[in-house]
Amino acid sequence: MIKILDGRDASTESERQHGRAGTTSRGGRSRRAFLASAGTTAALGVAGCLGSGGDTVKVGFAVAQSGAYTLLGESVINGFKLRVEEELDGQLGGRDVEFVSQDTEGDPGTGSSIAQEFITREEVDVIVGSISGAVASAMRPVIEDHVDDLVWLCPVGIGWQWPMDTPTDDVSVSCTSTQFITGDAYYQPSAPMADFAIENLGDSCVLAFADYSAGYQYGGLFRNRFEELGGDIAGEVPVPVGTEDYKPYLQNVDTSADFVFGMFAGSDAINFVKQFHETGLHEELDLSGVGFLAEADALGAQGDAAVGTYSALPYTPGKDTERNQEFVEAYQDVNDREPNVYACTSYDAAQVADTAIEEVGGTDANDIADVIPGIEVDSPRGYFEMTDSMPYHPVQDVDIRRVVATEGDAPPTNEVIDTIERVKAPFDCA
Amino acid sequence: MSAHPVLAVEGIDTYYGRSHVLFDLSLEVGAGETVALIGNNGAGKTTTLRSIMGLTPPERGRILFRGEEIQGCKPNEIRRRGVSLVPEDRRIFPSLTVAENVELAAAAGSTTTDVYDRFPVLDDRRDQRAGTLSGGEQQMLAIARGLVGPPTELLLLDEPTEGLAPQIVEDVSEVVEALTDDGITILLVEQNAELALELADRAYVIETGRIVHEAGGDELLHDPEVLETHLGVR
Amino acid sequence: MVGFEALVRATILGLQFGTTLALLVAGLTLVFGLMDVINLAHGSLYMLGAYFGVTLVDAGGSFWLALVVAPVAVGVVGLLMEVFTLRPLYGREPLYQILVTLGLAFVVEESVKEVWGTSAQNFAAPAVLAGSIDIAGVTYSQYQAFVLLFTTVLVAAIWVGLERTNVGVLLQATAHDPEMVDALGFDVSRVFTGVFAVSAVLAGLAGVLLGPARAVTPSMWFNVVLLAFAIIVIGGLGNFRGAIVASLLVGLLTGYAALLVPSYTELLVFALMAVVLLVRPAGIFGTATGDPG
Repeated sequence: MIKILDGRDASTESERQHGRAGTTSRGGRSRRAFLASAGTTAALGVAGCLGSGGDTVKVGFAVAQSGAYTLLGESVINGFKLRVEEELDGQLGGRDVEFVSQDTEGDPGTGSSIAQEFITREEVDVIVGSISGAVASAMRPVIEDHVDDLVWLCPVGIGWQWPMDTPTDDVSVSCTSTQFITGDAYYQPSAPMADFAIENLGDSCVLAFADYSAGYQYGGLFRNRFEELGGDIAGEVPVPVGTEDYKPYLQNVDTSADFVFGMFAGSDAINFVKQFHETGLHEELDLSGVGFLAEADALGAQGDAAVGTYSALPYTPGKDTERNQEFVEAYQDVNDREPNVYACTSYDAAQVADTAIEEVGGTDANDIADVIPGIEVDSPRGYFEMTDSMPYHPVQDVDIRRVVATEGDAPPTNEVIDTIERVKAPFDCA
Repeated sequence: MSAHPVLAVEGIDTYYGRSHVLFDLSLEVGAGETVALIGNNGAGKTTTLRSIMGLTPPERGRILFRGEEIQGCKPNEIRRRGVSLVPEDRRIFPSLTVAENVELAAAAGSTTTDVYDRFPVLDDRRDQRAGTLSGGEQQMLAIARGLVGPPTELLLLDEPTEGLAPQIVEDVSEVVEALTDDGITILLVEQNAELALELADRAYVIETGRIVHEAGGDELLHDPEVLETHLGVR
Repeated sequence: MVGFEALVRATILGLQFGTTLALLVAGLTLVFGLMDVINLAHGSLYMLGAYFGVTLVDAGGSFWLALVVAPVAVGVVGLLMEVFTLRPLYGREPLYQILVTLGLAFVVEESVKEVWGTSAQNFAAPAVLAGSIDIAGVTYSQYQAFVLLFTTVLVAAIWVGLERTNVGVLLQATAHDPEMVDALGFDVSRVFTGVFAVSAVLAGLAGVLLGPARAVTPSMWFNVVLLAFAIIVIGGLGNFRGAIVASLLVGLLTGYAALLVPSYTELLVFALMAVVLLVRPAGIFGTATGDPG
């Protein structure tokens, strides 16, 4: 098929934003293909004077593709590409897309030099990444020097840090005018659990968390909200990142509390949940945590030990909506596995970029930054809208899920049992 | 087979890394002979024994044991054919007991010679750690270890009296003589030229990796020129 | 104030963690002691044990079958590794062996990703050990108690075997002076291959035993190698007894630190390593002398 070079097809703004819920991806693609070929003649007519080089969108993935975050990095790339290649004919905002990707290895130094290379050598229009918050922190100053040149989409890592024990209302974070968070902004997978827990689990909680900045931050936001609602933190159990044997740490859990709030991700979440179960703590306390504690990827490895775990996250792969099922099926068709939350937030990053580039009619970073605030996105997680002020992030519903066993040999799965609506992170820019 | 000498070293060149240590070196040891290899420090005596044992294989030349080439064989194969090395500095296993040292060596072959008869001093110390033995006792243990295991036809003795008190040197000499009497062929490396020449039937003088002189033991012992120029003895 | 009961519990948990570590470092320290090879692929062999366990249990085999078959399979992998990649490098600078085993670790990681994918895998502990028991106020799953018992017996058996058996004497002698052992008539290269394969079997065994309690992921080898390496440094490189005692020491340190100063646990382990290196560079049980020239 001949690509349209000047980037406009006939679909309207409202179709872009709302039309696809309900249509299958296959249907969306063929309609687009039809429109594309219909527009070919006209497009070819002007291609000569518009030029082609400047009209492609170059997207650079700066994500981990090795080490502990491998799966997360792959999910980000796959989610973004699913939207672009399967549903948008390889285009964003009607412009052909060129992808480059580099492995940050989860290392801040590497991340920073990749950002540098993407900007100066590759001249990308959009950076997607990173996975780790520390890598994002290292990339921020490099990107900040080039806010006029590119847009920074963050489906996972954000690069925020604030001192431990900061009251939530006093949290101020690093903001970059062209940074757009499409995942969670720390607040959403943590604090809403407090609202659910105080009603349903009890008012005394032990906080167990990975002993690094994100652990303190997610944990702190939960604690602040929980205390604000009248709950009591009966103890804190920090555990080093990458710990294999949690049992020596779990001895510190005060079993007279009502429940535990855990902040662990990746293989830490698997080890923690398995060993929480193995030491019999599950018989004395409920286990709750940030969404990553019982993420779809982890459940297979956690097995039955995860059953009964409560967690909060804006996206749940098993969410029973047509829009989500369509996304899950499409993702599975291409990648042979279920999408996780990062696949979804990265897919949404592609949606945001598509909408913005189309509306602006170009890739000027400042113009894009003008249009993204306030846009509404039809995400598999449900509609969300981007905040209209910095830090730009989704105002979104948060699912409270409970892990339930499934029939047969299949791993347990998350069931959405409650929804906390329209959650926004109450942060100011530093 | 008896036509062959027990050991024939034919024109070997041996290197340690890039440094050339033995130059076209040849020597022979006949059945039942005790042959000494004498020379100054660094002349290549130990290297010659290491080459024969396969520890530092020569790059050129041949080494024949009972007429068969062994220069490409691994040390353990050479040992099982009947060549046994009692190395410089003894290299016993200090954390093992005397009995363990002996039993370990014996386990590599079938010889069950009762070495404790030959070395009564070891008999009393079977359960003592080898590292706690005196120098002379350690030397006896090293020789004992060289005699058990696969049957030993050629014994390579490297500086057996080094660092020992005169009385002990005499004990070691007696052991070497007794071994000769039992028909074991010996190639003896010694810095103590006088002692070596007394014990040996014949001797080779080695200097910077080359054999420079060969003669009967007595002959060398009474050749003032050899004593002075090659051994620095006056 | 920390109560007496809490200290007892920390001690038990620490010793239990220590035995796990002992199982992980036993093979590593044997290989280093005999062959002077720092096998950075040791954690990879551990990981392969866990993944073979996953596959065998998934394929319908019982856990007990996996406990036997997976370590043997890992042993075969170890044997091939030694024969084809390490053997040509003996006698060279240690740097070559470090590089080749590190390379192998990455090869194994990538192969695991190809075969099993990047997401974490799981296999269940045997159903007969699903219950739990209380020991001195600590709740153990029966499986955990089984692992503790099994590991203790195994490590003790290796220890005694090294001290008392003929093979043990051969290994001690080889560790001290491999060239001399060869000159006594033993094929040392076969001893090396055998020890490396046994070391791989031990690592594989650890993988199957610990797999059900841990995340089985393509990167699980890394932390294991890091910690195991710290332990053999503390114990005295290549010193088996030292490594076992150091494992228990690090286990106890972790148990107490997790109770008293949890944020500093990892720091303390590596600080212990640094202190040992400064004060006794040969390790707590190492000797500066006795190495073959």
